[in-house]
Amino acid sequence: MKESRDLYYIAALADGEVKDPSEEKSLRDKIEKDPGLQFEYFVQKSIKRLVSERLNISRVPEKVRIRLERKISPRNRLNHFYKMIPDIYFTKPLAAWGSTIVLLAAIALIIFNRTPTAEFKNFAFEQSGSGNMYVQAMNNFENILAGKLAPQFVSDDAEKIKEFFKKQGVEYPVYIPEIKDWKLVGAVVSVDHGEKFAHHVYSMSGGKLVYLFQVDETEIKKHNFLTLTDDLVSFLDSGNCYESTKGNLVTLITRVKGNIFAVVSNGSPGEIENNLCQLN
Amino acid sequence: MFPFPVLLAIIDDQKQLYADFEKEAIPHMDALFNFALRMTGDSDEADDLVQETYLKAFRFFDKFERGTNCKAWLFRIMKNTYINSYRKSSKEPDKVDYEEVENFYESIKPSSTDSAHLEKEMYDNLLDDELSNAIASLPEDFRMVIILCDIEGFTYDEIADFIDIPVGTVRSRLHRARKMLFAKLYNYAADKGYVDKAPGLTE
Repeated sequence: MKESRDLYYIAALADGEVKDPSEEKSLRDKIEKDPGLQFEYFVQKSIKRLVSERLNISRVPEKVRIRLERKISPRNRLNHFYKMIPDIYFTKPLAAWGSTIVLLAAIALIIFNRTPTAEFKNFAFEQSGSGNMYVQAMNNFENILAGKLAPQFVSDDAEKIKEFFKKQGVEYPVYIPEIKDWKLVGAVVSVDHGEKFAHHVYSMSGGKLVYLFQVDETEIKKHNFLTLTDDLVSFLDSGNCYESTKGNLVTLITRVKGNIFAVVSNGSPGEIENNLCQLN
Repeated sequence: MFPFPVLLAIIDDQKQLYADFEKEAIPHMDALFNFALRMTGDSDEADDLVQETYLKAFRFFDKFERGTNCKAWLFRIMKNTYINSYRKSSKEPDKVDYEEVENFYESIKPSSTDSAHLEKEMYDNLLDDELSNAIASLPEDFRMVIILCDIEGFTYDEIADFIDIPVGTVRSRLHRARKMLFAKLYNYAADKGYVDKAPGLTE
């Protein structure tokens, strides 16, 4: 039997795919009058029903989901990205070492030639001098935002960052608070008068950054190149947490486990305060 | 090393991309797995095909136009991946001689006045494995439209879109595919004695 257009439309009728009502009616009339077409319609309807009702949808095996999750989740992709970083030094040594040297030189220049910014003098607890921890924190954060200060170590793992500080020669114990909804991004060790200091950065929602510079309080007392004004220290001694905002920047000084934290962020002041002041 | 803001932008982009992908693409994984299973006929190959499809989809997800049919987009990727990588390694089912199906039809029509009885016999007595095997033995083009229409529930327009054929061809392929499947299932039923043997069709 030669197949006609009507026969194909019988399949479409079984699938509810004849969209023109008059065409549908005409087809149904033909089927009613012709036993051959009735049989065709029966075959299309019954096979469709049989297949759709009897063949259940199987669920994808859990191992496939897990394997895929492992490959595409941002956490794992970033870990892969972090792991690639040391390889760059072998695959493109000239570019990688060259960039590193330039970067380290830039960091050294930033740290050794930092200049106090006049506008900071208007803060309630007046800080001044290039050795002031508060001023250094502000300057470093400005450099981070400007892309001039890049992480020397990239990780979202607090333990690994602590290990990095230790390996780089930071001699005091570093505390890295793990804060809900904040993600560790990376760390920098600065050198001042031969002493190494720990800085790390978090990201928070909306692409905002939180920069934290911490120094063991005894280091501040021991060296005169790193200072905090007496009024601020006595404010902290009373168990206070000092917070100030200027423009879109929030700065916070607090004492946590014997370390002085100088925090600068372009995020929400309330969030910074809630998460960090309670640590002291 | 990247400056912090660049690094942060990379992290945020990745997080956002993954969140969108999780929302739009992951819910269709079962449907794609079923398609993969029916097309390859092998659960290990189906696992690999699903994974490869999703990895490709994720890689190009930034090109996917949000708000359009993500399921159809994923099926298109899977179909192309299947054709390029899996069809060669899978055994192509034996071709069915459509003339033979037609002859079978002519012979069975006069004796099939009681369609309701025939449908009940087939529905009640046919095993799911027999139905799966019958589908697996269909030529690929016909198998594909049956899976997409009757198992996955795609419309003719959607099927035409991602197999890249006209809607009229979807219609004719479906019509023929169901007839071929009916002929095979009738034979299973006849072999078991539930319906009369029909001349004209060889397995």
